[in-house]
Amino acid sequence: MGIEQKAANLGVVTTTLEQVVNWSRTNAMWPMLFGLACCAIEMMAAEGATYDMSRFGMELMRASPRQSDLMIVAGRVSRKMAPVLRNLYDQMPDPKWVIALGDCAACGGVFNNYAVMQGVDELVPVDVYISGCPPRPEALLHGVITLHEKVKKEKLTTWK
Amino acid sequence: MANEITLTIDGKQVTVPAGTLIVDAARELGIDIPVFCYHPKMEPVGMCRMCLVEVGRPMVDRATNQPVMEADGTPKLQFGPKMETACTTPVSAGMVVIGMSDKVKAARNDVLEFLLTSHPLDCPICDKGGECPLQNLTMGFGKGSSRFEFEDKQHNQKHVPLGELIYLDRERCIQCGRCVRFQKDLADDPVIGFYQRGRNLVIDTSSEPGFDSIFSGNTTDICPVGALTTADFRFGARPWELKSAASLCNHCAVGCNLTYNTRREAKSDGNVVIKRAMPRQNEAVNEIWLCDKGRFGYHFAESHQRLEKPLIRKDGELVESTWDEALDMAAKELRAYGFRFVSLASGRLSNEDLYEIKQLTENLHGQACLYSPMAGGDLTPLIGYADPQGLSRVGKGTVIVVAASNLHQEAPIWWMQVRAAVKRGAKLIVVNARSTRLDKFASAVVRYRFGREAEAVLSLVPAAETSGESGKIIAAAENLVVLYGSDGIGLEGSRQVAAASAELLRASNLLGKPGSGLLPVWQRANDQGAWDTGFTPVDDLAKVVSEADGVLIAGADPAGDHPAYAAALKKAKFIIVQEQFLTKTAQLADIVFPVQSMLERDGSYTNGTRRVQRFMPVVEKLPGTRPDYLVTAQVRQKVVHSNLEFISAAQVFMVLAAHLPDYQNLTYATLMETVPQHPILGRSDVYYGGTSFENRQGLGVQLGTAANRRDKYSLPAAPSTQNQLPDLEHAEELMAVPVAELLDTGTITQKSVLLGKRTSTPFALMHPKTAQQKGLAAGDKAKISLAGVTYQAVVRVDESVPTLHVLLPRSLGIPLDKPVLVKVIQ
Amino acid sequence: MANGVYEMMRGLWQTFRSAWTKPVTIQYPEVKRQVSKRYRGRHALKRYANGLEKCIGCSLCAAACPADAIFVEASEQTDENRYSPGERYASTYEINYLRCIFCGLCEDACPTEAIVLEDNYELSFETRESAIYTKDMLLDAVSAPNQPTPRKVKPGSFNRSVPEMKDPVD
Repeated sequence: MGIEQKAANLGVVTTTLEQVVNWSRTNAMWPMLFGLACCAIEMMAAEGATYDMSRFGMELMRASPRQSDLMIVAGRVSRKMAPVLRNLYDQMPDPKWVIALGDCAACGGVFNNYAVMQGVDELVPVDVYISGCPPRPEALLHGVITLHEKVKKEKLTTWK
Repeated sequence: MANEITLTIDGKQVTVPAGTLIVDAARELGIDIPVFCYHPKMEPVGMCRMCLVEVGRPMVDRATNQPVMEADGTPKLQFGPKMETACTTPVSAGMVVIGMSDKVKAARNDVLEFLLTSHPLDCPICDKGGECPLQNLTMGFGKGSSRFEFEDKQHNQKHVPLGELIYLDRERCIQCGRCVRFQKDLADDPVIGFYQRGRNLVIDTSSEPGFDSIFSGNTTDICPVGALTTADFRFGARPWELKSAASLCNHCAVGCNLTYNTRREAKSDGNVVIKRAMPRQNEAVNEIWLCDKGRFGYHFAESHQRLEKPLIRKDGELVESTWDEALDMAAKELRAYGFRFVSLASGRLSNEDLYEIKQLTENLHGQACLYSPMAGGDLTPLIGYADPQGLSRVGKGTVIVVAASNLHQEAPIWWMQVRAAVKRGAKLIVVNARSTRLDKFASAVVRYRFGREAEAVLSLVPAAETSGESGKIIAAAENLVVLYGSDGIGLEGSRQVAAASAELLRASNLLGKPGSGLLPVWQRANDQGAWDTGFTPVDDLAKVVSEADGVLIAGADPAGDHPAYAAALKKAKFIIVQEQFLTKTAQLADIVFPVQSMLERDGSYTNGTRRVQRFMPVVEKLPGTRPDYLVTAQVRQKVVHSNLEFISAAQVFMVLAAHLPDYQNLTYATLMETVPQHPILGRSDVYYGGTSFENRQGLGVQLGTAANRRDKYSLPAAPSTQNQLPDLEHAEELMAVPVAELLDTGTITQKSVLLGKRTSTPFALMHPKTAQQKGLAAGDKAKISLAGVTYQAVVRVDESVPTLHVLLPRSLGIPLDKPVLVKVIQ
Repeated sequence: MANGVYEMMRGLWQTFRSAWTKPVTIQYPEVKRQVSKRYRGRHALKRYANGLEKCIGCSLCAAACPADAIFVEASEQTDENRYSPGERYASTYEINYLRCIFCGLCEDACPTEAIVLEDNYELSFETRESAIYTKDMLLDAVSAPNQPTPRKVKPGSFNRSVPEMKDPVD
């Protein structure tokens, strides 16, 4: 009790490094453009004024993987696109997260065929799957919040 | 054929044999005239009126008896004022049938509306929904709405268990009578029938226990609506959710073709399980029928008692081990003990397994024994019944002799086919010590006392003085089929009967005709294949086993069947068992290899008529198990350092085909060939929808015989006509003879919970006088003392059983493999 | 040059003007936008007023589903243990929300109007397994505490599985 109490009286808040870093990570998570299909339209809507993803610190959709933290895979990934997706993911600096937006990115959706990846988790580790075909912009925001919750629970030992 | 008739159906010409019904002629053209009550395997009755068509016949001038011609020279047609039922009208020359006019459509519409007046229309919960002829025809020709309010409908009971296996929904029944007619005309078990009249008409069972027939499952196949459902599949899955795999029944020598429908199920821990077994049309084998044992007895694969890991004996205990360790140990021990090696296999294994075991046995200079109490498998390649059409087309001119077999219990489908053959005009001679269910269809019945089977068969030889009436029948025969079974005989008796049957065939001078030959009613599915791959039964199995150093047992449970074998196995130095379950034999083993059941792998069986047929994997294999042929091949590789060149059943079969002359040119591909079959049963749901009758996965290949190829061969000498059994000296002892019972407790049958309700209790069948002498009456519990052990059995009496004999069932807990003397007490 | 300055001023005027208008941003998740009446969100399995489940396990929804998202397994029920009217009920009912495309064909196929797509769209999952909703999660709450399923009912009172329904009006 002692030190925290005193520090608080001095206008200083103590917390763990874990919490601070996780908090700061959640509030500056720059997404990378990965619009592939119809879901990308909803992703654009989420970035627009009505839903305004920048409220969550997602100012920009970076077209460059080297400046982004979060890959939002929006749409079905064809087998031909797969190596590109993996390549871009590898170029992203750690820490990095992946949201599979919509049914197709999550598990192939209705495209149960040879040409479409049956879920991007075959390629990259997915943190959050968002259901919908396509999901509403709110659903994407809900997914982002889910991801934030997940990031906030990350442990120092697992940091990258 | 000379008697062929050409007619026109819907503008297309077709030529069919005289006597064909319009509905079948239309099927030849690919035109489906809808039916409900008609079934091509049964006599038409014309009850449902669904098949009404317009029929025109060439007009004949009554005065001159000449056809009347139109102005353009075509024959003038005379259409009846009303429509005719296509299912009862035979074709006639020049007939013109209109099967799709507005008039016909209106008639179908009306018939359907009547049928649906009291139909509950609960298709969403009906097991037939999705493969229902009534549903399909209503979609095709029905009105779309009913003029009947729901409350006007006749309401009947929806849940009526007719027995443990079959449930009836009386509301759905459209009273076509297919089930009633099947039970009466084909199964000869008229245990269901119509009750009440008019709108109250319902199906009911008259037997106790309900629907007491071993063919009951077939009624659910032929039911055109969802009225009859099996307890097994009831609400199990919707038909469109099922996957299907072609397989064979492995319960008897008929080798019925069937299709297993599977589904991945949450109830079964997410495993793929078989939901139902449906017959697959093979006119040469089972036509479109299955007995209840084949239909409901498939649960062995999903049993939780299956072995999943190899077991090896360490310090006297069987402990779980790894495949590598167990295989190494087997090879090491076999190399050490290999000089007196015995392999014991049964017809439960496929040809591929048996071939591999035979190879191993030959490498070790051992003896390959067949676990079977029947002989004569060496005669079938010479003079076997090898008609490519099987028993399903046997008719006038053929004489069928059924010797020492209770066919109804030993091979139900053959029983049905023999019975149908008699209906078509074949003559039947039954040779049995007691009355069986075939007697009432027989032209002649020959009785004997147990032990004199061979004598009785030889008495039929036309030249014999004793032949009498039956001799005359055989002398007049164009074809002669001799079936022999194992009713009341052991191996020695079977050898005599087989030889006597061969002698009868030889004496009849009909050998070489494709429709004549010898047909043993084996107890297991692939006994014939085991003979063909080189296994033979031995007289004193206990002695052979006890003297052996190394024993390999596959697909058999001798220790569980007979204590003498258990004692003998204990003397053997080293035992390897390949088994699915921890049977009593496996418990005695030094190494137990867990193997796959036939439902998890592919392979081939050779049935009683020597038709080689293929089965495919149906369900996912149980982790940790391997197919029998692979296990043996891996042991063999380690023992004799052979190359492990075969990894699939198809490859083993190729090698087998190259080495066995009779199987030459056979591959899995040839076994899978199909030809169009008649009557046409698959193809359209409008007709017999709901059943997977259609056979696209192969009809198998019928092997030829030496007699039919006109090769040289020699038959064994005619057996002596001596009594094979000792005389009944002591008054207190009875001669116990083993008989077959269909619903038994075999290693793989007893895993079916559903059939368990129908499994027979051990019984002791004897003459009423004998029973009285012992102070017993029908229904009493008798104590049977056999080799110092007492077994209980319920007394049944039958006047046809010879006195001083007692008939005991096989595979129901009483160890009896040949006639022996027993004490029967109260 | 003058034209350029004019255009710039015009643009800035727009910015200045917008600064005084009410923001259009919906403050999700605190504020949730009303979805359309016909919006198709997460499913619910409905009950009758008497508490029995409407679903009879006919699996027609699974058959209609273009994405193969629904898995139904039926079982037989008795009056002692009644879930729904008739003889059949759904013993397993699962929807995989990562497959479901919310097309509503299941709703159309349902003969008892048991499955209804409602307005919940907040479906995001950290694992694929958690996207599979089981029957307990989909089923509506019991309408009255004394009407749970399964329950014992008077024999013969619920024999009809498919109720008579009016043709849909709209």
